[in-house]
Amino acid sequence: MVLNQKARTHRVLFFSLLVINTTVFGSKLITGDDAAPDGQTFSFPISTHVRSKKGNSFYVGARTAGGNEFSIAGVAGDTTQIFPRTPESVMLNNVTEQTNPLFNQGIQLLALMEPREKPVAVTTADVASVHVSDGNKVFSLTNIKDASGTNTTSEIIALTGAGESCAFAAVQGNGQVGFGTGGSGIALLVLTSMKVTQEDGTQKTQQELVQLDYDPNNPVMGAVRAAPLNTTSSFVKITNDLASISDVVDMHWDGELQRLYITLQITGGAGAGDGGYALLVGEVTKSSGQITLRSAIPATTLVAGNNNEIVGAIGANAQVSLQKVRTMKTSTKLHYAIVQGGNGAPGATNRTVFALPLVCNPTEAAQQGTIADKTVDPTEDFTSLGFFAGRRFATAATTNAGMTLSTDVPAQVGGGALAAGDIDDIFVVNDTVFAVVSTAAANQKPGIFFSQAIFDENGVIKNWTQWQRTGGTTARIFGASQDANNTNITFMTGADANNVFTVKQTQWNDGDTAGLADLTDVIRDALPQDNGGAQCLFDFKQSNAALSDVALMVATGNKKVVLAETGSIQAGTLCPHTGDFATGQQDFQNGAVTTTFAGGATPRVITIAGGVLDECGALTQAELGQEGTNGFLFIGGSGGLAVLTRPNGDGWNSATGLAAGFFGLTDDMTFKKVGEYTFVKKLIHDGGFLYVLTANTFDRIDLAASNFATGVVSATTLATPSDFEMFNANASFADCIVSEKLALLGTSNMLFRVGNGNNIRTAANFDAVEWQAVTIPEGLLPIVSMNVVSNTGNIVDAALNNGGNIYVIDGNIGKNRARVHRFCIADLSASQITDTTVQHIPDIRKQNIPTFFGNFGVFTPTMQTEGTGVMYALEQNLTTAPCVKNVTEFPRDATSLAVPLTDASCITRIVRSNISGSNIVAGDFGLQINE
Amino acid sequence: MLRNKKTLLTLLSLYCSHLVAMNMLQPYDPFVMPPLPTEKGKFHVVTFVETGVSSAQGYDEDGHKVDVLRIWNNDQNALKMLDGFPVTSLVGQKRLQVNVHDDGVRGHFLVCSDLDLQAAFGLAAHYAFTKSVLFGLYLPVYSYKLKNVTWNEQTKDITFEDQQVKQNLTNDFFNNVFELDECLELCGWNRTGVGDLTAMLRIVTDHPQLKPTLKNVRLQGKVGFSFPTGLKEDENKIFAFPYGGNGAFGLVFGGGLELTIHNFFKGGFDVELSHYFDHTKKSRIKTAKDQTELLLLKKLDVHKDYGFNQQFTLFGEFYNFFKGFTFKLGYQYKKHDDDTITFDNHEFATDTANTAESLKDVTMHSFLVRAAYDFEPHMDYDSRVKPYIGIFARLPFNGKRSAQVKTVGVALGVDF
Repeated sequence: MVLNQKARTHRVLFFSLLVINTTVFGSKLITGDDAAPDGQTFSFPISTHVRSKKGNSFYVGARTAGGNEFSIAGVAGDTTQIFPRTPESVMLNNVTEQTNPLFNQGIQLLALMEPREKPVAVTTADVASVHVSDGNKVFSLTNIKDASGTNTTSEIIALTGAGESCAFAAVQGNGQVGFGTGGSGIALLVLTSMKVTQEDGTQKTQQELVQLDYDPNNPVMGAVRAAPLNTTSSFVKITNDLASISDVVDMHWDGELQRLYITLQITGGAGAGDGGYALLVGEVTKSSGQITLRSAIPATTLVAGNNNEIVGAIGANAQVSLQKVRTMKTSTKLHYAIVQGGNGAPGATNRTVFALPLVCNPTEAAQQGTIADKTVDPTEDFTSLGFFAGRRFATAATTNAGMTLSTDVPAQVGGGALAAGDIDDIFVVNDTVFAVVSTAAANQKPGIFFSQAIFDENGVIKNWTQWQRTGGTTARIFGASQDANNTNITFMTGADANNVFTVKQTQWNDGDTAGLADLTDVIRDALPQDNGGAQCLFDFKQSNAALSDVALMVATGNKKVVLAETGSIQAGTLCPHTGDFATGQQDFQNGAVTTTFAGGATPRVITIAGGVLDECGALTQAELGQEGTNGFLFIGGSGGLAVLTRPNGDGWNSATGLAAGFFGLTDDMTFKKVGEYTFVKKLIHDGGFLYVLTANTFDRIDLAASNFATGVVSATTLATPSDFEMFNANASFADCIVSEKLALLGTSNMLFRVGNGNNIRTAANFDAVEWQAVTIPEGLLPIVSMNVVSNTGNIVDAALNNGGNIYVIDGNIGKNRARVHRFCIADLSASQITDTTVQHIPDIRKQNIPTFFGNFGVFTPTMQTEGTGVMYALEQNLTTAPCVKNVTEFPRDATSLAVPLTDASCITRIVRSNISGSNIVAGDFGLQINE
Repeated sequence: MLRNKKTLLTLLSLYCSHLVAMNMLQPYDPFVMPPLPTEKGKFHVVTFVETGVSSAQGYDEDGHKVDVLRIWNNDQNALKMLDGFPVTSLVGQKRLQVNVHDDGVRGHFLVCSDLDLQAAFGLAAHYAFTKSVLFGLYLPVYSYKLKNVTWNEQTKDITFEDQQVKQNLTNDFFNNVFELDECLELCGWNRTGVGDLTAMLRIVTDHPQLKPTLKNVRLQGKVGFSFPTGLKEDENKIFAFPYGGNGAFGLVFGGGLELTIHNFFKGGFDVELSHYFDHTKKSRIKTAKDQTELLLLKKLDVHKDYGFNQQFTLFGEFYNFFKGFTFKLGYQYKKHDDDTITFDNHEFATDTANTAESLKDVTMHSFLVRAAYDFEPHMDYDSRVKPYIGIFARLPFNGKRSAQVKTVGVALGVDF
């Protein structure tokens, strides 16, 4: 063992300096008003917030008076500054040089009219008025009327923008203290244009904010009525009137479906046949402005007493509590409602988020935007020339069998309730739902979490990834947005809901000093660029069977491996490690561990070099394995495969290790060579087997039958290129996926899967696998790499837990092109492999011609997707520097991410630390982190 | 006698030499050419022998002095060599076997060599139809040798990709190339052969001046054809350039002005323009943009449109200043414009192929020195044979995408 005391001291000193200068690394502080103290954006608290549809803009509103021109402020794109949106003097309702009613006000509600991003606000000082800010113009409408049409609402409790010139306001009835009684309803506000005659006789066009009567076809003289919505409304109640509607109301406008979604928290009547609906769909007739509110489902979809229909229920005193609603249009072009809440009391439902399919059928106005029948496959539309025009659910749910239930896996965003705590807010970016938590549950940490949709062969959501942390923060988050283009997350943070003064934005750099910056430094020291840097990076979750309550990151380099503990259970709470990683670092030579670790807070990093690792050469693969009570670390490289074992062939005790402070590693452990492999391209541990892929062989090693002490390796060769008759002498293997019975083998010629009825775990040889070619529509033939999106996030779970998706890159570096194709994988936990095990997700551009998901236009071997887009790496090409790009929707142009890659040559991996939620790019430069 | 002379001219009329990337001796070079006969019915035969005094010096696209094998690319790229082929081909699958990016040195070779002009021989024969009209035939023969060719690998040995490239491509590079293209030889060669033949009609007119200083103005014009008889490029050897137009016919034309000042000094210029006619020949092409010229695996029948050749010569001469002794200094500039190729193949792109550096323009700059002795002052006026001897040196000093040899030579001429 060599303790590099000098280097450690330098790192600690450097780390200390970085702590002092907190603006250098990590998420950047967005600067706001001049009076804000250091480290804060504002000198006053903020509370309300709204994000633009694309997420590239994020607006916040002052909690109380005192914000002056920053009462509403907006941040756009990759920036360091938030801009004030409420100047003191404005043109108010077409009169110049008036005092802005939003200036220095607390903002009770905030919404946006898009795409020009005009903030719509209700102030804390005047909760019956709405103001629209459009640059130096403000349009105000006071005394918003309730459903009576003549009385002013007692309070506006929800607000949403709808397109460029409309907004909806949920208004309480005059004199009411809660929503759902008396004259409560939904008011439609419109920014209208009209021609007025000036003093000189000329006419000019000016705008005015007006409230429209909800039923212009049946007007009441002198009344401008909000659409009534209360406990007696027929579209809310079932049988008898609701017992109550709480004043927690959320609204969302879907511009494509042209529908308003309203979530309520309702309690039904006391009768067994009573019930109600908590999700409403609003339609505005374009010609007249008439508002029609409907329940999102008919009563026929509900079964009395089931209480699992998410947006409605029948039963005595049935409760349905929805907190938030957003809509999603998936990359497969299907519409979903994303609702937070469900059947039950608010306190019991605010950690669950559900996805419900929505009907897109413009010819049936009554069905448009309602919940679709989950049993009916979507319809595809094509233009007269046969080009793909869209995909949609066309049939509304009318029966309970067709109704999406809370027990349905496809409905369970995040795979179930978010353990981190009550969800403050949700937002949707493409195929991904984000949840924001300010107050953590017991033994949890707050932060930002996401779940990605997993699709079936019809493009329908069939599963979700489990909630995963993102943004690289465990701070209390009160509102957030992700810019889909640059992937940066902007968030509001503070001590508590009353003291939110700060807006931050994640950025790519060496990491946050309060995050993983020191880990970056440690890895850069251990794996310097002139020795190839980080040739790969692997993130192992704490749930890995070979780990005990710690999360591990492994960076591999030239003849050297770095193990970093990135998190552990502390006082019952799973905590990502941040800050100091260097203290106690131990560096081992000769490929041997020479210390028996007692466990504890340190070390967080160990490095092992030399010995057999020298023979293994440039290391690019790492995998944890577990067999019996032994945990193993396997390392693969250009020169071979090695395993860290004790002299008797055992690994660490997986029942107790690998635990905090590398407890489990003992002073007699060394790396030993396994087999005679070269150029190891992939290692996968699954079901007691280690699968080894090299350019020329695909082997399965039975860990139980192998003895690493004696060098006995029980290996079964499952394929070599020469086994495939159609391959020429230079054919090679590129990548593989193994999950349960299934294996996918990517070769330089095509993609193969295990044959029907066969099992990769038991196949005795190449012939027994009966490899079957997987058709890749409009593919380029050579497989470059494969990425798995599974419920757990683990590769080996692609065919488990209701199945996952695989993103396959095929391409030809020789012609500088690559494409990505999507396949859905069936759940094989209780079934055999069949023709439907691996199916193409229906990406299509021309009728009857399935095709690729996206065309990168250049060659890339490295990609990652979390549903918000596809992030991919372009490596150095002669003098062209490497870069990381993100594309939100093919075939649009990709956005180059601001990853500092000065003097870099290669990008070896894009990975997210599961425990910290930080996105990490690894390469010869070490690490670059987005947090 | 006359019939023999005509036979000789007929034979000589088969050859002419033009080359773009090398400063090869041209038998009709206006600088080294002795004074042409100006008497009707006279024959004039000149023999040139030339050799290099050192190995050829290369000049890259920026005019930097480089090894001759680096005039087009500073290094040779084995990774890019595999690019652009169908994925199912042997080469395409090889590229997938080394599916790694080019970091600027991975798979690169620095190539060194010595290119020697062992000897060049030239024969020029003229017949004066009239005092002012001559017909000439020109034939060169060349012997070049490319030796000491070394391929120095630049790939580092620190990453998986580095080692992948070494294992699958560069460690046994020659054999790997042989497996992909059995014809391509990456070593040196020794080639001797004739160049193209040029037949040229010259018009020379003197305009005596009755001025104290300027005594005579000589105007020259020339036009001719070159015939594709030279040794062609060997596309299976590296840098095995053609000893002529590579199988193409050519047109040569030009003219010059020579002023005689007092009785001992002459000065003037010569402009020579030539153009090869397009033709089709099997050639190696680039299949990817960043490929390097010595490592091209694809051969196709390629139709080539040649760029225009220009040669400008300035000179000053002390003429017969001591009996028949003449000393001449000059500067010569040659330029060859871009070539363009096309081919009929849907798997490869013409645009890509036309990015080849070897198709781009070439320039050469040389100083020229000649000392000669004309025995005419020692001969009787009616002597049937008038010999001439000269030595010359061509001293290249700059250029672009060219390989140039410093040479010395001897010219022996006789009028009869």
